[in-house]
Amino acid sequence: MTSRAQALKERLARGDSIDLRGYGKAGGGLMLAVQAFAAALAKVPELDVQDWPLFSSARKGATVCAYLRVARGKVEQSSAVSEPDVAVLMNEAAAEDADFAEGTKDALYVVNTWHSPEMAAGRYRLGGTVVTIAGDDLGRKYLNRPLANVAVLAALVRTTGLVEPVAARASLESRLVKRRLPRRIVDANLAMFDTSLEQMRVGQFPPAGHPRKPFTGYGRLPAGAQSALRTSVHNRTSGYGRPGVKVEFADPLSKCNGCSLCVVQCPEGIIQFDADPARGTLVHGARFADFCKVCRECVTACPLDLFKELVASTRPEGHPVEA
Amino acid sequence: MQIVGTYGARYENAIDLSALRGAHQPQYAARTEIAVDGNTAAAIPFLQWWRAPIMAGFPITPSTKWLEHLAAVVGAGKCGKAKRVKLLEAEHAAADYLVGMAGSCRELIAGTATSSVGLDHMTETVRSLGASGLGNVMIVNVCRATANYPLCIEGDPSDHFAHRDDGFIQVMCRGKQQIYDTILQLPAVGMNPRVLTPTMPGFFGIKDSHRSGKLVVEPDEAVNSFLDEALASTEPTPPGLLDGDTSMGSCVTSAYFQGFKVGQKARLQAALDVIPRVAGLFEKRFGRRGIELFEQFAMEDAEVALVCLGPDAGTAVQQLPRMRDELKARVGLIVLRVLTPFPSVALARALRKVNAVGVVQHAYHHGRGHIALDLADALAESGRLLPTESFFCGLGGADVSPSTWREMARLTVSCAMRGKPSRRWHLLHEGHELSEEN
Amino acid sequence: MARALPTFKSHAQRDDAFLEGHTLCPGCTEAVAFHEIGRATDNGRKTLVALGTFCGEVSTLLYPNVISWGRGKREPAEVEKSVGIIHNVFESAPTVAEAMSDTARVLADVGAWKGPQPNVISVSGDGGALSIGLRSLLHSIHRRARVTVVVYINEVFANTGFQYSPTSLPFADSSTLPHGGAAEPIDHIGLAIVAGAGYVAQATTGYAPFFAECVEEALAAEGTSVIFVPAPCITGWKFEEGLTAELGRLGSQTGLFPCFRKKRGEPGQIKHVPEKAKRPGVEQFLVGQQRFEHVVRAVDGKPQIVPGRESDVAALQSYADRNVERLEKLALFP
Repeated sequence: MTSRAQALKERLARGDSIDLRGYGKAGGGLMLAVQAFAAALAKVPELDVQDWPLFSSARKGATVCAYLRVARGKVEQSSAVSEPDVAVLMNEAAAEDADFAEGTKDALYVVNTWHSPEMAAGRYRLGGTVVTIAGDDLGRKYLNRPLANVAVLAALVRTTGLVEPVAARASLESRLVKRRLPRRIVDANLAMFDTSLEQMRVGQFPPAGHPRKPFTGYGRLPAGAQSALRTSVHNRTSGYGRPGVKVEFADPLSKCNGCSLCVVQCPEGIIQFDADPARGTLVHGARFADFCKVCRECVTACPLDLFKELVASTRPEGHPVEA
Repeated sequence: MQIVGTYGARYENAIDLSALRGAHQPQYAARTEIAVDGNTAAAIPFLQWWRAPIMAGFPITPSTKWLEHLAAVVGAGKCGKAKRVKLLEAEHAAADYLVGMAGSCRELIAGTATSSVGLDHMTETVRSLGASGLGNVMIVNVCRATANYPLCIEGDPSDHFAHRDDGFIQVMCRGKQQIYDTILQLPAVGMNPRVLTPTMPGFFGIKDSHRSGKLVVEPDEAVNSFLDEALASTEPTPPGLLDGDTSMGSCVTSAYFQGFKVGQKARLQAALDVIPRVAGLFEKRFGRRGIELFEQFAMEDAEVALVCLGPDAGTAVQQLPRMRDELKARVGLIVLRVLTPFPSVALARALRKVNAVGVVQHAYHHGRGHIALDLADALAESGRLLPTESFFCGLGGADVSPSTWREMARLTVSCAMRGKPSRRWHLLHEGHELSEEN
Repeated sequence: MARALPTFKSHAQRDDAFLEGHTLCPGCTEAVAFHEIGRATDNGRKTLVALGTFCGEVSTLLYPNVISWGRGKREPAEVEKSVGIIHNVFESAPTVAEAMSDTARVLADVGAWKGPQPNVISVSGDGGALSIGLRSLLHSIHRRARVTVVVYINEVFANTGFQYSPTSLPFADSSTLPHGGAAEPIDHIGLAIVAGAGYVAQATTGYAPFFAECVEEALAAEGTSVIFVPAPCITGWKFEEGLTAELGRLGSQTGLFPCFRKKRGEPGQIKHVPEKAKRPGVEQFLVGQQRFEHVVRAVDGKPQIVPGRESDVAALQSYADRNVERLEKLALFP
């Protein structure tokens, strides 16, 4: 058993709970991973577990959080997980606008990334046990999409030592069946789980502080939540896009004829153009970096193929997973 | 165009209110004494206000006549182009309609009247309005027994009490003059920048709505200039949807909701401050008492007090001398008016010299009664508990006879002597105890 | 002499009242439709919008930093460019909009509002207008409220997590009716026409020119205008990115959601539905949506009916065919 797993076991023995918090993107599988972990923990006779998602109205692509609390006997505490013992980052895009390590000092961090533990610790300023797993790659291999949840689940199981891998696997399977997924997809997930158990990398780093942001009051809120307009323009939604891809516009020969289809099909309204009263909207780009959710409607709409979906990775094309 | 705080922009010249004011056709040129029922008394202010161009409604007993009276007067052409009556398909629609109208222009008064299950039907919107800041909305509730099994269309305040936490300022009225006067004053309270809370005047179905009595109506010009003066403020008017660039009714996460409730509650409590000011201005203008937190009768020397509300209090007022004489005890009477926010501090103060209280309630309650609980809370807060008898009578509009009043007074006097109530609650009719031993 | 641009192209160049930074899913039809409405209403008239409670509200009116409405970069100098938008409760948008419209009209009648009558728009999902909201929709229509009512139909209660709705197609999987049921969806177009709407349209954003024309016609019509927008829902129907507009077009071509428009008192028009012989079969629409994976699946890029489900597909095909026939009759409703 690793020293981290030992430390977690001692926490439970003392009567303290183990708190877990995960950050990810909606649709990125964070909920399933945490729920499957919780279901496996629930089968351990002496443990009680609660898991819950951050309740929010945003769906596909938005930043989401999941929480889990496990204790011996009974989990009584109902307040938020604000100082997690285990911090999970399912999609690195979720860490762009939030500190997924907030409230930790010396925790177990499980990060879905192709980076090494050293790179991850440096990038996110992590102190403690850092576990990385190239979950997007594993997802592409087994599920044909960069869906890392099963890989992260395997990493959690292996590094916390709180449940046996066999039990976690069974719990995962029943979750997937309950979601009415076709059997071949269930099997692919299980194969990915088995492989992932052996694919993580672990590093230990000196403690680094991420103090909790204190509550400083509500301020004077307007009656009836009446509000000025336009506040969303500072809300960067480019993090909603599927990881590893982006859309670009290229028209070196000025072929755009102003058909305007991309302009009217873009759900974000971010196509940039010069207005020509005779021909239409002559497009010269789009505000991809801040607002593109990689929905591909422009790619489908443009009759001249001026929009293209490309790989977008901090990892150069073909570069192996970092040693 | 003026930026107003964080609300957005307001276009001061977009709506020319003087044109609306100028289009108003006065109903009364001078102070006039008429005889009308409660519903009509509640309808007349809407005909007199230039600020109320549209009255919305859906009929339900016993409030229907409010809508019919408006429709008759407007339909007879007595209001010209400046007034419409909007007939909706359901009470919920009437409340939604008020939202759109009141939100469009914050200077207009958007009102309707309903009762009981009609008020229940519009509840989700009523609760939303309660938090909305739209103090220019008024829902007149003609109190009626709520719900079915069995159905009763006669009056008791169970509906008013069921909507205690909807966020509206609730005031109970008895008698035609109180109904009329209260409605004239309430927009000055609700639209005050410190309050920004919609208002819900109430009066009993049948016993007030369907009984005629004398009413002194004031001339339109005075009614409107009173309101203009009461509303004059240095604070900029919040933008409406029509004359503003703004949004209303967003959703929030749990990170923010509580903060909004802090503000909503503070604005509701501010009404306890603003009501006496508006009442003072009303008295100065019209020579009659404005809205009081509660009425007091023979309280100066009272040893015991009966606390009640609604038209049956009138019987108690009339019986007071006989009660005092027969019981050889100094009985006093408090008639509650402002229910929400509950005037706890003032009420505890008014009862500081009595030895026992009898709380008289006409609404079904699972325990000792809505008012009994509020009163116990007010007394506890003041640090002095009082032995309290809890009475129920007049449910569903049942008659509350003089003999019932005298019996309640007698039981309260006994309570003072014993130092504690004789049971948890009484249910009385024709002077007889009906409840089982409890 | 240059020809005038088609409606959708001229709209594309207007100031949009709907902005970036909202939290709707990537590829959400509602966002595309909001942009068209946001641009069409830049027509010299004040714009008033009432939203019901649905995805389009919680994702665009979230205090404090997701209010994705407003024309121009900051508060405009003229009231005609300004926007007033309100969310009340779930099913109330048509009534709230009616009140806003009536208020503007009354003020205009007495000379208190001097500008042109505002654009007044109500937007709800199919829950808020056809399920719990059917009362408010039909009665605003009956009262000839001068409002444009837009209804996004994604066939589910999406905001609550994609449950069965009265507009669901037969056999569509949903969380409260696994694998769907045999019930055919409510006839929303028929109801709106018979209730007396001044203008009724069903338009997909996938046919941008037709959609923009319908929005323009709706804003100008007498009485109540109703635009039903078939809204392919990427998260609820579970399809791949980039197919929103295509599914909208297929929905029309198959006869499941034909493009349709009709002014009261005039014959209506069905568009973008080929004649029966050339019409794509419904399985073309169903394939690629995981909510129909138990019925039709893609095999080598072609739709294949799941064995044992032939009668389900036949029932859906029959519904589509009868749907077109019914709309042909409704087009002739007086």
